[in-house]
Amino acid sequence: MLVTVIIFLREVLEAALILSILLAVSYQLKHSRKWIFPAMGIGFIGASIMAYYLGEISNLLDGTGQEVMNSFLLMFMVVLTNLICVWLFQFFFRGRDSVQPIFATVIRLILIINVSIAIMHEGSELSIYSYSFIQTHKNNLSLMLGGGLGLGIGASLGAIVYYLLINLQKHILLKVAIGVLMLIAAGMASQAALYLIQSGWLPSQLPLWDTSQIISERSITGQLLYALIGYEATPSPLQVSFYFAVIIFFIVSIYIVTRLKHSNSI
Amino acid sequence: MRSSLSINGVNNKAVLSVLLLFIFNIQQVFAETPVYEIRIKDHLFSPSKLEIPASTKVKLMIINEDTTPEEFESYELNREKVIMGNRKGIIFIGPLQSGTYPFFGEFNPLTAQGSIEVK
Repeated sequence: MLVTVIIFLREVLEAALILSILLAVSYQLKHSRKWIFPAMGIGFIGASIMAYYLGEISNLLDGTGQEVMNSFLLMFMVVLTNLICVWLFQFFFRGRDSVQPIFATVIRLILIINVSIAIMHEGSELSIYSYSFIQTHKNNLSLMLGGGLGLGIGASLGAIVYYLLINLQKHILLKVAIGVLMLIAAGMASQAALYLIQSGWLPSQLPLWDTSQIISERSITGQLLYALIGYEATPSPLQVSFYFAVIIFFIVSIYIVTRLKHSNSI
Repeated sequence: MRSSLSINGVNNKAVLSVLLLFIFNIQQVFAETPVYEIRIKDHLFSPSKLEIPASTKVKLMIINEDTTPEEFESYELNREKVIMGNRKGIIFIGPLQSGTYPFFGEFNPLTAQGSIEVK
């Protein structure tokens, strides 16, 4: 049962973190939080479809379909997260009035797509695991207990993050949210690079450094850091490049959009 | 012109040009990459200890002979891949420094354990 708890918790952690940050900023900016319902609905349905077809998907592109799909999903989330951060920055510096109604609708759509992909990405593995568990074990009680416990712990951590965030002052919340979302996106890009390396689309390299003696990826700290900043003990130079490229991309895009808007208004 | 691109030369430019990497990669496909097979049967890996040469890129062919899916996972190798029942999957690993790199089946970690010995 412990195995089930850990698997569920690991998968739920990242999606819960993204969800709680986006819910918290929506709350603070008095933006509707109802996007969570379609996002979860689409996410769960998408996860089941993805799990069902994973065998076929894996066989595509000479057996690298799974990795290519995962890296595309992750890179897509990086782009969406970037748009969300640009929006947050606008909202913070120029106020609600600067955001046109049409843009608010677009943002709601982006939030829905981003969260549903996050749920889909993490959820498909859970449904494959659950399916496998049901096939091999006579007793499904431990799956339900373990899965429920893992989901529950993940959701509770998400709730804690949510309540911590909404109690922050608005300008601090926005800074924290933009910073954390940027690091999560950087971690996703590094993960996307890893999938492409694993499938042979990008060349493998020796790790740039090894911090497994200091913080093991197996440890709870390692797992939390992985969800939060995409921590890896032995990243390859390409992963590190992708990671920092995304951070630079975020900073530059926020800067450019802000400057553009500013010069337009004058 | 292509032959003048050394491995290090491409790696240094990796940040700037993903395109070059793809060209480089096409070349790699034609080069001989040694293939090693690992089978999954009854939630066990066989061989559970696999020896591969150091500083060499190798292709792992993981064949799942169980009817249930398994996830090949290794923190040390930085690899994870779901392999559905009665299917196979490929994973590229290396070049690696010599040492022991444990891997496990995430869905059945109590039995599915193994390691890659790089020598």
